[in-house]
Amino acid sequence: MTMAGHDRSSLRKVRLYGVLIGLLGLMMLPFYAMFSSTLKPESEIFAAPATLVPSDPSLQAYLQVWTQTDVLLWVGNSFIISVGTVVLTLLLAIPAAYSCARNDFVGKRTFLLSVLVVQMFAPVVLIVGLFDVISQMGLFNTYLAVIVPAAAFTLPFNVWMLYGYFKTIPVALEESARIDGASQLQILTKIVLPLTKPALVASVTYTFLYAWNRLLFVLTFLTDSAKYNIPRGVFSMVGALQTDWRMMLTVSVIGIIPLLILFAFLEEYIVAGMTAGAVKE
Amino acid sequence: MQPDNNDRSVEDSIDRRRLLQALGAGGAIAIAGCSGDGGSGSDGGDGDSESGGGGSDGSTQSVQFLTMGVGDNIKQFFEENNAAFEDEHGVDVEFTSVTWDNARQTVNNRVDGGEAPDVSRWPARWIPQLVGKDALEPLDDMMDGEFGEQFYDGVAEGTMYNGSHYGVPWAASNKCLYYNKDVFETAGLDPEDPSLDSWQDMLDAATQIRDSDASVPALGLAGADAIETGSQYYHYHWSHGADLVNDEGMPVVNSSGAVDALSLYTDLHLEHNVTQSSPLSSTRQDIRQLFENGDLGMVIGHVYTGLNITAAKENGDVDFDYGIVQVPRGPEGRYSLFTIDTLAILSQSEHKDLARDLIRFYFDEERRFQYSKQKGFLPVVEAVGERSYFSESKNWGPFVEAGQYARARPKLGNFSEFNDRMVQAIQEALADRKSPQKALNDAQSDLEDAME
Amino acid sequence: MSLAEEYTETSDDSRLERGLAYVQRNSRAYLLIAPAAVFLLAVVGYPIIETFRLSLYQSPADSNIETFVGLQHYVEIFNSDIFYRLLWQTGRWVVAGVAGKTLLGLLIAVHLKGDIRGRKFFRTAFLIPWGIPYAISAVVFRWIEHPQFGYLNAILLKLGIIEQGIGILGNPSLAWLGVVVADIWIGTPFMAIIFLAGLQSIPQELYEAAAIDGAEKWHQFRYITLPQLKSVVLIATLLSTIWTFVSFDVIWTMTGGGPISSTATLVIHIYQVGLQNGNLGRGAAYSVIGFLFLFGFAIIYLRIYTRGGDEL
Repeated sequence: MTMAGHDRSSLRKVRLYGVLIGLLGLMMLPFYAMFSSTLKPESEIFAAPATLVPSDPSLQAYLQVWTQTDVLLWVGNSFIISVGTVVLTLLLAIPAAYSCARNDFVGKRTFLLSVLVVQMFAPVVLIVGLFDVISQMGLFNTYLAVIVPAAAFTLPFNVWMLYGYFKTIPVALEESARIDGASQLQILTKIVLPLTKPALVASVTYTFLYAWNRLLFVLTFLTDSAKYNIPRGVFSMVGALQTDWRMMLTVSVIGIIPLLILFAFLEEYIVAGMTAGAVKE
Repeated sequence: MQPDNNDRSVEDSIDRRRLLQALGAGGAIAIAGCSGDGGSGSDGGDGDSESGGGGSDGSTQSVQFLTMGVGDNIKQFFEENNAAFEDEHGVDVEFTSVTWDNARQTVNNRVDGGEAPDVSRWPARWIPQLVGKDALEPLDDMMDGEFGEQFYDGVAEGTMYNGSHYGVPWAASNKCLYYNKDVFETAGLDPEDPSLDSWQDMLDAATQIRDSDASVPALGLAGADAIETGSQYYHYHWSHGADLVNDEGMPVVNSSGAVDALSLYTDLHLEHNVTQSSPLSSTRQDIRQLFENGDLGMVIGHVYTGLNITAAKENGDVDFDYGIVQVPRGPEGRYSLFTIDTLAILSQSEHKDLARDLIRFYFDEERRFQYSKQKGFLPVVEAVGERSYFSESKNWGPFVEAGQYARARPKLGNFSEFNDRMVQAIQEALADRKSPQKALNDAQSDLEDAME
Repeated sequence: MSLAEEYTETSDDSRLERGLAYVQRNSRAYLLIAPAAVFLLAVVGYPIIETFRLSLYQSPADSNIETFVGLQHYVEIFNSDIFYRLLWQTGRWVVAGVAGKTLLGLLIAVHLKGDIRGRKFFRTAFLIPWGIPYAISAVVFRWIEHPQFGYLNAILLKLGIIEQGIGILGNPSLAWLGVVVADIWIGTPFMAIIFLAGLQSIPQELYEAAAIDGAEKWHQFRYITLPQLKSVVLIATLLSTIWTFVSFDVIWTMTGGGPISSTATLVIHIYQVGLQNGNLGRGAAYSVIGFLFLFGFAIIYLRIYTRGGDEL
């Protein structure tokens, strides 16, 4: 390329990075607000007007949080609830999505559409009936009381997503495996699922995060404070006359860390999965 | 429906594949929980199951104890005392605390779903609602007996409804007017003997602060779409001779006294400009916080504000002097909003005797003292209130004195709805969308429709 | 069997028998969807049906007695002023929110697509808003926009743009924008990732061919990127519309629906009327109406989507 060509491309690169950093800065502002507040003493948090940079930043909150709150317990519970929800929802969604992708049967469209209908009701609105259901199932105050509704509300998205992705897998692959004598289960687990890794990763991520951030179900159905997840734990710190904002925000920040680690890992899989999908075409 | 050009059909089939790939590959990183969350709860419905609240089966009985708003400062009190009760009685105490903004829904949910707790803190103003659902256990056996004698008279009455006591008084609060002595001094007002007896006095002081070098707002005004906005406002309402409901329980919110009161309330912002900015988004907590930081001249608040400031001063976080006087009086009297929260037993409980034991346990005088002291609530038990800790305290003294001006909100089956409508009227007037007269007239007619 | 006998044989079977035979032939298909279907019916089906049922009753907060009132709730709702106001407020909330999330998501995705250094870092960083519980993000935004304690005012004051703190959330005309901003912040990562995936599956050759033909970047975007993304955009916006419509947390935490109900959407009102005030029947009626809107919208939307001949 000519010198002019090089210049133009590096100029473009600079502009690209510029925009990215600008966007990132904008998106990170609220997070900065959160994080910087955790570095301030309680009194400075309520300075009017706010101090943009902590006057005497200290990580003390992050040392105190382990003893002043049950954050470790909450993180552990969040994992239990999230993993449980992912497992339950995938167990239900994968067969259903597969069936819709491979077969045509009466009621298929109805099934797919009604599954979408579920999304059109806010859980808040359905909480009365949900309470009855959970209590009738005898699940009140158990982890399942959160896992079951969370799985129900993430099912629609997962079914649709997996359904769409299963359809792109050539039937020929399965048929040749069947000719070779593989059972249906083997076909599913050894051939189809590995090929749908990107979709699975997407499902897992979406479901995991949905469950991780659930407040409503934990609030309504869990009364045992030993089972609180992170959002519920954060809100348990809201008092009638006094709220420890500093601790609340610190716990919130800590609550993101496991997710960031997860993101860091999964992002790679998503990228790999996506290019694999494109190449397969 | 016809393709625009020849490439369309090819494009579409690629489209579909892209879409499916995208959905598959992309990542359903959906907004974690786009649908409703946060405030839980619902009311009513038909509670058909009868699996009553009561903990685990098996060897140990358990009693479920629900309360609200346990911030850090009182958690230890409950943890220690619950443990002591567990040891003494050989049972489990399942303790839950919920936030105030979904307390009513949570308890109602659980009542309707057959999972009611055994013992719950329950504000007196919500008693009629649960009594209407036959969800509360009358506690006359306790209140009419020796147990009931420990309470101040007026306080005990506060738990009565339809002739029975539906809970025992647990916590009470009332209000006084706080003022920032440093701000008063800067504004040329006497910090030790301020003239704040009437609303007019308060307005004069506020105006003087506004015009002075003091760089803080003079007065805190709650105007947000929140329950407590009503609580702040009713002082003005009642002291102008207005009422919320009459003796037959019908709304009377648009009397001339009411209009005067609401006009005064809104003029503080609209005409005199003596309040903090943007009162329509200011909750009671916001203005309280401002005062506790030393950034506000005056505010009506609980005893807790004073306790907070004292604690903050000990930490070296703030450094200003404050004083407490009674809530200003209006043309028709002086009132201090009095709230009673009770400890109630739910009728679904299968451990009512154990529940009574738990209540009696917490009413040991020393425990009552610890609770009142730490929580910043008025002692409801006379013996505790008379302890010098309270009667001689700079913080507590004025609030104990305010007891004589105590007035509680009416006990209505639909109080929540009533209060919401009042807050709406306050907001409409504060935003200058309607005149106070019109706002209250509209509220009156809506409430009349709702109450029939 | 003779042809005639075969014919009569078939026509003798009842509908039910033929139906059962059909199910039996396709038993595997039905068996596979059974767990999901039964699960949903049990967990969510009952509450939904209950909502429809409740909308026909009067269920006051302070009593256990329900009275059948038929369509009275619906009649009263359609005759009320507040309903139309709610529709307008919900509409602008959804339109602004979805537009914001889509555009911002697209902008971010386009820039994250390329092979850039620190891509992993950027992609992870942009996902952060998604990892924070809704209610907490809402609290943080309420704080940022707080008239006295807020960062926004602090910045504006420092830059000298304003003289005195402004209170967005206290302004009945502007409060909804203050909430929309929070909703967009929270919801953009999802859209960004969806679009990123879509963008990454567009073959590079298309761009190279266009570049050789001398097409500008902007033209490439308009004539290659956008058409290829069409289906992705459609599905993403459909989902986002539904989710934004039923969104509750953000508004409730930031303003409680106020000031003067200016930020109240249908779902907020349902919560206030149905749950907070305990008027379950009325709340249920609103829910049904809201659902019908969404359902109708989804049908129309999908019809447009499948116009090009795509099957479901």
